[in-house]
Amino acid sequence: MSGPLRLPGRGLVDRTRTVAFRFDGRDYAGYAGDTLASALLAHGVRLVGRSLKYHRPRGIVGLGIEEPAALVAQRHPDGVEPNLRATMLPIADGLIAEAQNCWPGLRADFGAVAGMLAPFLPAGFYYKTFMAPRGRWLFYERFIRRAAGLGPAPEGEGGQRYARRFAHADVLVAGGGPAGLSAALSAAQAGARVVLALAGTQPARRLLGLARQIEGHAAAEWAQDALARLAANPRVTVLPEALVAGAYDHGLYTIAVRGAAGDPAARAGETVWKLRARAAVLATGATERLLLFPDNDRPGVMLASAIAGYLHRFGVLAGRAPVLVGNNDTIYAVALALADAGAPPRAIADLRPEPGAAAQAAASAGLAVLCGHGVVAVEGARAVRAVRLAPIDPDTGEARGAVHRFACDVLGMSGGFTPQVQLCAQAREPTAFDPAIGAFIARPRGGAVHAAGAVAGAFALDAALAEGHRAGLAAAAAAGLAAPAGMGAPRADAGPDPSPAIGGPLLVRAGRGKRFVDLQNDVTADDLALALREGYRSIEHVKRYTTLGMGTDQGRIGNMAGIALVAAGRGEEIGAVGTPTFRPPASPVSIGAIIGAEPLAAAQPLRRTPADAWHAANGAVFTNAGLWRRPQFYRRPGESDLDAVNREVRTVRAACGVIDVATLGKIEVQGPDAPALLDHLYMNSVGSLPVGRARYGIMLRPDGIPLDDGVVARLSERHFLLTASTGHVDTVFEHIMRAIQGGVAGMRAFATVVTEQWFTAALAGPRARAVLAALAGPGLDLGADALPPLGLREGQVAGIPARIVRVSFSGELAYEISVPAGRGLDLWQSILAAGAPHGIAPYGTESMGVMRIEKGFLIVGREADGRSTPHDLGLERMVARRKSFIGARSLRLPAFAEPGRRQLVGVTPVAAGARLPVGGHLVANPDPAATQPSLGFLTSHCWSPTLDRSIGLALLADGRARIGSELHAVSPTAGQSVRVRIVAPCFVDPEGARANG
Amino acid sequence: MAKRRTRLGDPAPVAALLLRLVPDDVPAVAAAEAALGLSLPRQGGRMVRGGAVGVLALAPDEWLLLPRGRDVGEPLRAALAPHHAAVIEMGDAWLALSLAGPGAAEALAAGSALDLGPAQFPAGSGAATRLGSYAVILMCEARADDGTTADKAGDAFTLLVPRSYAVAARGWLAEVIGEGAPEQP
Repeated sequence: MSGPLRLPGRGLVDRTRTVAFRFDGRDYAGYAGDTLASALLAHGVRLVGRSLKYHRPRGIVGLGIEEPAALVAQRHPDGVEPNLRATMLPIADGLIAEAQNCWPGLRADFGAVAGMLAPFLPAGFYYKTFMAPRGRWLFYERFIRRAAGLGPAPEGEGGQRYARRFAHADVLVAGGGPAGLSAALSAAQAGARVVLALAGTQPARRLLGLARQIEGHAAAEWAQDALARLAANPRVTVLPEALVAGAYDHGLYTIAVRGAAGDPAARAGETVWKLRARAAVLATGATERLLLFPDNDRPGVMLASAIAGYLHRFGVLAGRAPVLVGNNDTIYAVALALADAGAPPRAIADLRPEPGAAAQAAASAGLAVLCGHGVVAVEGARAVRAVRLAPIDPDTGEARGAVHRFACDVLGMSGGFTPQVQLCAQAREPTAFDPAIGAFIARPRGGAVHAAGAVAGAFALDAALAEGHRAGLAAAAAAGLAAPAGMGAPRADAGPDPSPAIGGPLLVRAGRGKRFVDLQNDVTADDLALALREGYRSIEHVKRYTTLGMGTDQGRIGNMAGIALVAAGRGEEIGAVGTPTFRPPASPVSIGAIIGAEPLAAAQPLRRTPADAWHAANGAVFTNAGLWRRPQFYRRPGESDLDAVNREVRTVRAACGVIDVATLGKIEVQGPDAPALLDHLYMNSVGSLPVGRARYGIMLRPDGIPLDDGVVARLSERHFLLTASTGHVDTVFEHIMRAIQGGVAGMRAFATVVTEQWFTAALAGPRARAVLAALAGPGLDLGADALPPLGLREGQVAGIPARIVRVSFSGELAYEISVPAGRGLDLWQSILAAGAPHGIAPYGTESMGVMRIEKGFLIVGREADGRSTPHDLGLERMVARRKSFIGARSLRLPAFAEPGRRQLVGVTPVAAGARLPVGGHLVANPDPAATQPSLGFLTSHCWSPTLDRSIGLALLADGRARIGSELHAVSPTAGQSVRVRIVAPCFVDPEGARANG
Repeated sequence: MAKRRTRLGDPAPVAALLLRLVPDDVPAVAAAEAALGLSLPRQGGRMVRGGAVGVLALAPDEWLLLPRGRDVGEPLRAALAPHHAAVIEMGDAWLALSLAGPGAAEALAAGSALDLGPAQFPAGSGAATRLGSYAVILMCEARADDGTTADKAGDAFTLLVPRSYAVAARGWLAEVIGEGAPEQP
């Protein structure tokens, strides 16, 4: 029931628990502990997907993380999760998985026609064919997109919950093989906080089926026991299904953890850990390489070590009639295991002409060993049926003798082993080329990063254990923890350790068919040769031109062979060619897990003012200002948006209104040097400000452009309160801190952001004084002499200690009243109650914006657009002449005085009822479609209910000289054109009589 | 002991001030310490508790004062009047969230890059830090163990959250500890 190729009594699967799952529309059963790959292999399933470019049939190649071909999509109740490795996907009841890259279906794939067109699809094909003539790509793209892409885009929420978290450790151990376990044990014994990341669910999987002993126990049992001891230690965190994806500066590692272990709440399917470790032991092992022979991608061609792995871990025979081909001694261990399982290889082709003792031993055991032979043909398109073996010339790769055909159902290949040095390289630690194994090994300098086991070239069991032990102690020492005396490394018995040393030809040239270097991206040996012929020599360029190793498997099983081919093509040593730069992630991490579980609402946290609940309950239409939500206006029943704004503006101009300005940034500056500091920061003079008075001020960037504007109030000789625009307060605070810490030596001043401490309401309109008087406590004189424009008073308002600044952003008589934030809602409601007899209305940011445009007040980010100078904005009279301040020298730049600069002006349509076009440009020719220079553009505009016409502010070339003239405001995209008059940038009460009354 | 749940409190008012001093201004420091009746902690992240006030060193020239009951602001301001110092009322700027129980430290690790290990962030530790998207002051009130056991039931933390973010930040924490979906705007 769990498949005809399942053998009794082997593997770690739980045979008491049958699991039903569905793949590509068919129902199967496996056991708990199976991966999708092992369960499918047990049923003899060969074809599991189609390749990216040629849509060739593909099967399962590997055992785990290295799998290049068997990528499937998992269907969840609420979405699809693409590109999962079948070799890493545990089966569970109800699992539904589907093949990828095939339309309409896996067995009859339309895109396979691309395979027939293959001679016309060389490397760089897209660049060469479709990018010219210019513009044609848009036509081709429609057809190409349908056939291209790796897997489907995820649907819904991808069916998966994600999380992310931070963690800290003394020692991170990446890898749970013999070296990793040994390192974790010794580091933990030294007292270190250890995080052990296991790539799978089980430790030291390659020890399974190995007739070896460690510390007197069967090797696999020792590994289980070691893991249990580690898990019981409160200082040790064992993470199963955890892939260390990135190594960054200062001991930061990212780990992608699948399953419940990664998330303490055990609700996430994948969690990204950001781990800060004082030291690390990289024990990431080595991955078997493919061999380069014709049609080396056919379903049923697998890594030899994977065939052994399926046998030992899952009790699954990859095939009943195997053939093995290799260039090193490890294939003989696989052969003997297969023979023991009742499926002796039909043939073993060893590419080495004189393979040595291991081959002789296998031959004496009765296995058919063909020395110096390689594969020249693979029969069977959707499943291997037979292979043809022939003697291969080690120098040329050509056949030089009789071809033998062997019927088979699986072909195991071993091209040697590639140490997984990605993390070592990411951590900027050295690697070195080892010619014996034909690959690079980790050689960290031994500070905070250590390597042990196969990744460092120690393939023998006893050496891996000893190195792991040493590396664990060294890492603990680097974390400041001394090892107790008398600790010894775990010892293995003196068993056989097959050598990973390779020999024989790199490439079998004999025979026809593609020799794939990268199965996921369909990169062949011919593609690499083409890239070299076309002048791409650097491995970085070859990689990008051919896409070698750029798939989700990062070319684990083929890259080293590709590098060797490039080296041979260049006639250089492999060590001289080097590897492409290893960048994070070393293995795929779901985008969802990088984002984490942040609900959308929390990704952009919402800031609420103290009166927010009142706004929400009273018809406020909210707008976002930075992260704050602010009432844009308050809509009454039956009102349109514009009706509401017009009503609010008219109410403020005729009676009074109140607006919540709690979001305004507030910064306190205190200290004996505060006046000097502020004079250094503002372009106008503020140090001379009397106590109890406020002043409008502008800070410039060092390049002379306004950074922000606001009001400076002097609370005492050494104590100032600054306001900053809602969205700019952090920038302004940084600017101030830079001035304090680095600008002027020995400046004695403290700056503190107090935005959140205060609630502020702005009360504006001709009746504002009367409303405030009704709330003012005894002794708070609001008379024009006691509290003149830009005056400051402290006292009780509505029984709350308050600070009042008489400042107007509307052009009306206005007061900004600040109280401690906890009393903010009290103040707001008291003002509305006291204002009711005067016809008060709350107003929002839209109405505030209309009134400031009517007054021609600038906003940083609109009129002050990062290019306009104080002079351009008509503020030159504010610029202090007799002091030095940030930006002062830049104001003297010749370019700032050249003619043709855009200056702030007012704009209004000549026809009274016409409206200014959104984003309109000011031009001479009224035709919106005409090609002509833009003389300027609208920065803000609105309907003015006060004037009953459309008005706007604009930045216009030589604008002040054009006041009184007429131009056209055009929007080419909307096809609009409006004749406009250029006027001074103040539409209402230019003398300021209303605000100063 | 019965396994207790992780508990998250509602935003609560808090009394708090910031004290700014130049740390090597000996007379100013002495005046502040005399007024507060304790020695200012000099190591960032450490809290000292006196009879009237708890003091957390946030930065070399910045201390968080958490008064207990009586006003410490006015006497401190008076004592520091002749010196270069600032005493700033911040009680209204923050709301306090309490988080306690076996999952508290793990929940915080979902959003804080601080090392919250029991030996690294024991009771009496505190720091201005980021929790997810929120700028908070995180303080450890109690710790169940010293890192030698896995017992976390007695862990207790207090977070000072900017008032405007308090609802959103509580929603974020509630989501992390599995208390329920956060409020949607």
